[in-house]
Amino acid sequence: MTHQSTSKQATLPPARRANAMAANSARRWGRSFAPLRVTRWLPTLLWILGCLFSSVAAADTDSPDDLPLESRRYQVLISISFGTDPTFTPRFQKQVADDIRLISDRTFYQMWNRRIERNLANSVTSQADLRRLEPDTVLSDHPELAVDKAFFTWVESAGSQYVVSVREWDAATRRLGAVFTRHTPVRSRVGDAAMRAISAAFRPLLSIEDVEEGAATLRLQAAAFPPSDPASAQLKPGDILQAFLRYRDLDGAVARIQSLPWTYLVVDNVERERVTCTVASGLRAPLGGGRRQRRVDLLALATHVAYDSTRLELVQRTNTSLPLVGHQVRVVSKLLPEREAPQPSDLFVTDRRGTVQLRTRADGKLVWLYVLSGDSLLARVPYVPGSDPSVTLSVPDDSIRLSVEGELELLQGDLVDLVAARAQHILRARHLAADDHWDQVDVEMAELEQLPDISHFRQRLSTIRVPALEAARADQNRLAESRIGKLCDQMSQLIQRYVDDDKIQAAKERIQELRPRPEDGRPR
Amino acid sequence: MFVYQTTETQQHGDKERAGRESSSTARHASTDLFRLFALCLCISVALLNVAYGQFPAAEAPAAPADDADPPAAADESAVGGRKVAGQSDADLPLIGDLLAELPTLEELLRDPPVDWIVVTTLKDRVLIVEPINPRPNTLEKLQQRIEEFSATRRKPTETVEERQQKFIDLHYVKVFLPGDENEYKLHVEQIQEIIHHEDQMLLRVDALIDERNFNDALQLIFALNALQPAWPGAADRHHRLLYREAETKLEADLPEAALARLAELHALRAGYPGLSKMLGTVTQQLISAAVEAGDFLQARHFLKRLRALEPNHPVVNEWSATFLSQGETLMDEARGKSLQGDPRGAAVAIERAALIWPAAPGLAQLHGRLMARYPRLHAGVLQLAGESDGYPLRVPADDRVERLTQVKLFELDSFDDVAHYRSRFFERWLPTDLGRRTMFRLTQHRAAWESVPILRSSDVVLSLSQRMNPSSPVYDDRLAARINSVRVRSPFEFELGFQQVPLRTEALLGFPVPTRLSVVDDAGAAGSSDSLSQRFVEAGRTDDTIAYCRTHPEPDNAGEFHVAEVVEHRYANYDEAIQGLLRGEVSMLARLRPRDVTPLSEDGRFFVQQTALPVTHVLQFHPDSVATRSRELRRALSYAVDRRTLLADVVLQTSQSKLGRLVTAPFPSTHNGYDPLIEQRGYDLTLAYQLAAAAKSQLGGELPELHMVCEPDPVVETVAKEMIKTWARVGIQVTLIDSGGGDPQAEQNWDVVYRTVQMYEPVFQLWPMLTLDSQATVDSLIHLPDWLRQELIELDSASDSTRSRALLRNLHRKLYAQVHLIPLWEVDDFVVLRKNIGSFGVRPVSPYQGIERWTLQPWYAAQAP
Repeated sequence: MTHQSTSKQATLPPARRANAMAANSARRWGRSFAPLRVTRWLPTLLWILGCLFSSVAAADTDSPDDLPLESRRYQVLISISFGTDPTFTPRFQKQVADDIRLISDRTFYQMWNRRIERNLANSVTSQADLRRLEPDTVLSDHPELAVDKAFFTWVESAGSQYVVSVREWDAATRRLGAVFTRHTPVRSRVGDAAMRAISAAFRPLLSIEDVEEGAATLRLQAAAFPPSDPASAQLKPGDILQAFLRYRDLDGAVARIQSLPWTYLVVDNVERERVTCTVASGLRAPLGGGRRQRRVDLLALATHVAYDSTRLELVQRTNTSLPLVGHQVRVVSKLLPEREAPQPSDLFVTDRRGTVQLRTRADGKLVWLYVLSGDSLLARVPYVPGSDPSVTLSVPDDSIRLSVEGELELLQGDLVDLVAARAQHILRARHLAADDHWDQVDVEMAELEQLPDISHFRQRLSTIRVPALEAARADQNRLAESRIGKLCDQMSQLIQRYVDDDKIQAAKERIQELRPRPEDGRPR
Repeated sequence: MFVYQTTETQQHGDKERAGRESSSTARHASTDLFRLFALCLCISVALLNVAYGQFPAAEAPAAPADDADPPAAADESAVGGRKVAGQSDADLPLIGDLLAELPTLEELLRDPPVDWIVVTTLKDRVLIVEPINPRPNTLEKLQQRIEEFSATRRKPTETVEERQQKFIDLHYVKVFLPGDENEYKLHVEQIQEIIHHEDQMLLRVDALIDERNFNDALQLIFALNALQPAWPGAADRHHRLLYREAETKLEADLPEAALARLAELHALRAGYPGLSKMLGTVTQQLISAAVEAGDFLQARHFLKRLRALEPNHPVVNEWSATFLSQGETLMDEARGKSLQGDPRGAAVAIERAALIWPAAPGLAQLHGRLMARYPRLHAGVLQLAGESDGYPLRVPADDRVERLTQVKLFELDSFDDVAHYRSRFFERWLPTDLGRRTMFRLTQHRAAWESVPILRSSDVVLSLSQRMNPSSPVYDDRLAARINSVRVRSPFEFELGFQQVPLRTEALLGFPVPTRLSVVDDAGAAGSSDSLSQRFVEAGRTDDTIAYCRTHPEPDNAGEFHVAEVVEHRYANYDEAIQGLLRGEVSMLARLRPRDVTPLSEDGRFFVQQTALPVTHVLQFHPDSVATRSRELRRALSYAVDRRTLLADVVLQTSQSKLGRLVTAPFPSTHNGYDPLIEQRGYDLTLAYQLAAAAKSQLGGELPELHMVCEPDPVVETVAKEMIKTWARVGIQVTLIDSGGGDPQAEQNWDVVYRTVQMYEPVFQLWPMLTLDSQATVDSLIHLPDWLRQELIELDSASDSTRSRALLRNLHRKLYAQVHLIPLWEVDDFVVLRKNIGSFGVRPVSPYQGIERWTLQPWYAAQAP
């Protein structure tokens, strides 16, 4: 019933839409007040609601799209839903809303153009629902949301505590933030706890203006309206932003929004609307360098650390259903790997599901993840542990190279045996020659001849190299192809160095020189 | 050996003597020919110039009187033979001095024998001569000959002179001086006493006995008996020696050794003074000690020995009565417990009664009845479970007892080229959705002989959830990764969904159900228990035994009762275990040495069963050992092990080489993943030396000393010591850590471990074995090379048998080539059972397989060993 009404409202002009929402809201409030003699309180309530939604509708007219971003105030909607606790009386609910209104005004002042609604998100009936909320669900359930930010707030009681959970919806990037929860044992401070959760969940929006050599310049929305509380500044140096590409069609409507994977902007400096950042990315040219496309907006949204850890899953790039088990993930705490000295790192190994748990850093800073297969680096990406509950990283397949490495180990082992055996025979032959035991010298030399020669090892190397290279080419895995070639070349050099038949020949000749001549019976 | 040498010496002496008597030419043939000749020449000159009234034996007799008067003058001249030899009387030793300084054992056995003749005219001076004849009792025998001659009449062919000459000759003793070729005669009246060489030996024996040097004394007696059997006084000395030695042993608190001496003395002379009393004292002491130690078998053994010697000895009668009384008391106790419905107590009491006095009247019938109700199996082992003596890994005893006590959801049933499983709990299990799901149906019935509970779906699901919970101590990473859904369809049906089709569902679910929510007992009532999936549980423990009882005893109304309790007895080594089996202390041995297989197979009292899984001996390296990360060092260690010789000489110790074979993998050579084409690495010390030198340069010019631990097994320890000796020859110093040394740090800081394994599912078991971990966790693979790590993971995740076999063979080849471990050999495993045990399986996979169905015919050792 509610959904039908909402879809009808989407076709109405803004002013009438606000009125309709108010009516809907009133209907909902009416249901809530039903046990409390609605007929007695209804006129007063309708009057309050009418005033409230009139002001919200009026505020909409203050945020025209043609204003510069820094002059655009955030159009904010705070939706509050309450649990089924009987102590959550309408009076209490109203008190909470009033407290939020008061504190938000005091904190953000003009930066936010805020309105508050109760029970707007009907699908949220528990904290779990809040966590399960999907961007598509928000868009389909609330197509009328003409705001920049919406905060879905859920209030419930748990034992002696009141729990407030908030999740932020960013309209520009169409992304939901993490769930932020605050607790309070004091009934009268629920509004304060809610506002603290909302403040924590708030992610400032920026527009990326310029990118040059790993540094980016951005403009901050509503920077012209600094918060009344300086501690509530939108950004500060060290904060981390995530970049988004917003594609628009010819009509200017948003076609799609894409987040830039494994790319972060670390705030260096904030001067009113102008923000300068360092770009950390696992991509070569994450923001397209200096060239900008006309119908693509480069946006950035602050990243919050909201989880104790992040589950990182490694999958194969060509087959994402195949988890990569037993791969090493080295976590290095630094901003830019090229510019900083090596830092101490933590080493993890992916489990049978191809996952590792990345613990959230106390300072919430960015780390670099090095995915290793032996000595081979498969991937190197930045990440903020705790910013997502889980994340998947696809890396190239390294199984062909590992197989080659194993075979080359065997070859190298045989090579060592051969070198030792050769040395043993030559040594024996020298001693026997010195003692004039030439029959036994001949036996030793014959056994030396029986040992594998360099061609044998080269042939074995070829039988390892060729099929492996063919398999890598078939997979279009150039990295593996290059590494296999390198490994085989190194082995080839080892073979050339240690199994050089010329050395054997020289040893044979030296022993031969000791052999007595037939004519004089003396050594030559 | 001693007797042989003595006999040889005696033969040599006899020959020498015979040669001397028959012809002087033979003596001249000796190597001292010229020296002797010169000596004789000197003596002859001396005789001519100095001697008075004496003559060499070769010359004509000078003064035998025609009449029968004693030739006193001639005797006097004969005594002067001493002077003829160029010696004055004063040069001759005094008898007192000789007796004071008797020849030593070595002199008596080594030097040529001599007799001492105390000459009457030389005042206790002694003439030392070569052994004279006749002997012993020379003078008595000569007197007897004279008397016999006098009693005879002259023969017609004999002249008077000839008879007179013969009569005179009978009064003379022919003697040879040491180093003198000439023969001399000495009148019997000149001889005060003759102390023969044998008498000298007896005198030395007396001295040695007084010194309590019984070994030397016995050696001398043996030498004397070999030289002159039945020499007068030799037997007495032997008896005295045995008695005194027994006394000494008793004083030294070695009563069993004393008993042995006394038994020997009893066999030689039963009436030896004081022997009976001493036998009683010693046996009393032995029996008392054995009874105090609770070893009634030994007590009866000593009693039996005494009874065999003296059937009516008071000690025999006393202890027989005591044992009979104790036995009858225990029989009464057993009857009482049986009536009280305590079959275990009754069985324990009647077994003890049979141990104390098997001859008690009525024991056989009572024993048969009570033991048929509660069969107790006594098994001999070298190690009890839970006693690893500091050995860092799991010992075979733990596996053996785990298979006895625990019932897993799926159990190994048999093994040929692959493992085969069975389940006591599942009536059926049906894979669906191409193996991605399997529906399990639990059995709702249990046979009377089975000692397992009836499980419900909730029990299994609870166990699964525990094993899939990362915070649980029994978390199974492999299981958790494979199973993605569990669905209970009914109290006795559930379905598992798999993330990936498992290669062997049975192997994946080869775990016990540790706890349960509820138990359905025999009467169908619900109860609670903490010991699910246990067929036997430890019921008692002493220093050397552990008893395991059924968790679900058979009901009283069962027609036939099966093994209700297993008592494991620990022995120090295989020899003692075999003795325990033969004596009847135990009815089975859980493991046999290869060399004992044939003798016991031929013994009609026993069954010898080969188990399906051979025991593979493996050398493995510690993942944290820096030195053994060197491939060259590992190869050097491998090349320096003479596996073929060690297997034949130390392990098998038998010509039956079929019982063991060299292998290249840690799993059975009959497994289908074993690649028989892999060439065995040979024994090459020179190559090992070269590789060790290469490793040395790799490791900074110095090979660190390696530390080795080995499984607590006598054979394994012997092999380990032999290998250490060989490694030292190529410059690799290895120290064997004493497992019982009590230094836990030293026991953990090892580089090489020598262990034995019985691997039946290498696809699942190879990973934890290589990582020395109880579980196949990915973290434990971190020390392995990347390619090996990935190949193990790939093998673990294989879903079809063809691929897993190919992967296993590939892994087998690489592991052997890279010497990540050194498989030594595999030895067939045997278990021996007395024939009163029935219903055991053929080629079991473990010693106690199917023990719930084993039957035991009541039996006890009626005779003391």
